[in-house]
Amino acid sequence: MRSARRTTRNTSSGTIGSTCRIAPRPSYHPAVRLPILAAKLALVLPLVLSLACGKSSGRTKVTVFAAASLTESFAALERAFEAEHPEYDVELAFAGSQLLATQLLEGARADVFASANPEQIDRVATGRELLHRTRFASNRLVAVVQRDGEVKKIEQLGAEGVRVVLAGETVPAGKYARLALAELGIAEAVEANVVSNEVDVRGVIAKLRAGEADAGIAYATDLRGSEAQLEGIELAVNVHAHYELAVLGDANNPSGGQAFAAFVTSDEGQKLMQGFGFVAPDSTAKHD
Amino acid sequence: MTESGQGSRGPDRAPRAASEGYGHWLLIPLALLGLALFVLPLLGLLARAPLAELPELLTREVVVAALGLSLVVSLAALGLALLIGFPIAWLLARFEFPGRRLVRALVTLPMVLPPVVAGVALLSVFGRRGLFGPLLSSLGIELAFTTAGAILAATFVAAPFLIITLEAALERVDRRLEDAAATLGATRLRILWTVTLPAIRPSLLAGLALCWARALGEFGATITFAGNYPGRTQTMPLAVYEAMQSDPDGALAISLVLLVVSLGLLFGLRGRLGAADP
Repeated sequence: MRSARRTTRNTSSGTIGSTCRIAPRPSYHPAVRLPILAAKLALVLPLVLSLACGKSSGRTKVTVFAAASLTESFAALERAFEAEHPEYDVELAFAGSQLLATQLLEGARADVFASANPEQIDRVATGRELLHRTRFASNRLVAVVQRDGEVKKIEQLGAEGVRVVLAGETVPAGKYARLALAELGIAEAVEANVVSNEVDVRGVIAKLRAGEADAGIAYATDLRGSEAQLEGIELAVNVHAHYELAVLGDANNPSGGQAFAAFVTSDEGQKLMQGFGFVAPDSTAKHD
Repeated sequence: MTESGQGSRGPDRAPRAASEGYGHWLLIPLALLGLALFVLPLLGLLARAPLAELPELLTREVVVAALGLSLVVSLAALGLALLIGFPIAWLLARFEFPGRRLVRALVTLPMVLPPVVAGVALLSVFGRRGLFGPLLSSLGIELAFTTAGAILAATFVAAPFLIITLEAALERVDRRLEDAAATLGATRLRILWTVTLPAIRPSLLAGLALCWARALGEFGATITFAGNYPGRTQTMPLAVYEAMQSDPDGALAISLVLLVVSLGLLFGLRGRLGAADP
């Protein structure tokens, strides 16, 4: 093979007169041009988008931080709430409750925090002003397995070669899962099979949906939409997830936050939540 | 904006700067503003890092495991990148072949691709249900959720930095020297070793440093493709991310280590580049 590009050291002006295939040396090496173009686009695009979408209506914003497992149910609550209260514009942000709590402690301006366990609300209470705090739903845990897989019993989660995905230990779903496994007496065997600690419970479902893991532990409500591929195995344990929400008094819109919180605990809100598989909070214990 | 030839670097620049008029009164404040953007977050990291608890935070089992794993993964990725990157750079720099521009675009794509997309793409090929999944598992090879998977992810995102640096360098090499060596009877391998490699040494080192730094910082593709498990796939950036979920102090401490390492790498690179530049 003969070489194609014969570039000598001083090509900036030397090749202009010739009929050489090679154009005068460009200002950037071709291999660098693509990233540069991408970088230019990356700079301009957000600006254009923000100009395009920046016009907001006169509605006041209510920012809601909610646990990842509330993604679908809170989206439905948002629609229903906004239909009832056209003066409010709800903005939802979902993540693991532990991360949302950290962000709130770092000063995030959310008006409502809906957590998958009471501990994360306790954490926020150490650094933020909470106006109102209430338990609004319960959830149960299931082992999630592949429908076409070999794992069909909870004990198999500890069997050799089974790939298990859990939420991390600080994630509510991961905490509950480890409590449940301990109650079942298989904590050690399962922990040895864990291949990944996810930062929220939806990460567990995602890894299972990708087919990369054989089993995981998630909330019963997380299986919605994945039933064709995944199935749940009931856990015979007395571990339940308790969801609490709090309205922040030191954010942008405490009254909007109060209104949204009231809607979540209203009959209509509760009915919506139960439609997604959540259970009404047991009224016996308001706080742990 | 044409780059001046190597011989004519500099002399015409200095006088022009002085005669630019008021331009610099606009540029200097903007440059300072930009500098603040880059420097302030680093100072913030330093200011908020819990220095007193640093020894305790950094000797935690998770942190030590993440540090060790990061070294293993990034160095292995660096080796792999060199192994496959040099031949690619060589091909791109020295030979005209159909689709060369496409190949170059594909090779540089991981630089601009969101790393999480890279992770999804890797899963779709090397995952259990990926294109090669059945083949790999019949060979007893598991990549997803393994250290090998983390290395593959890091190589995927970091190798392009080495490749484009090498390609540019290989194109700039004075081919007459190689031809001269050839006419004197040197073998291709000998020419590579005694002429070409010494000529591109500064770029090679720069490319390796960039590649290593990128591999060390790799996060999105790793967490997507290899998962997050201490000692196996949880590299430093993943450890920072997990710590940040609930333990910001721990996250700050690990971040500080990454910052120091990266900064050290860049400083080291500068020194070498300056010394090696002809």
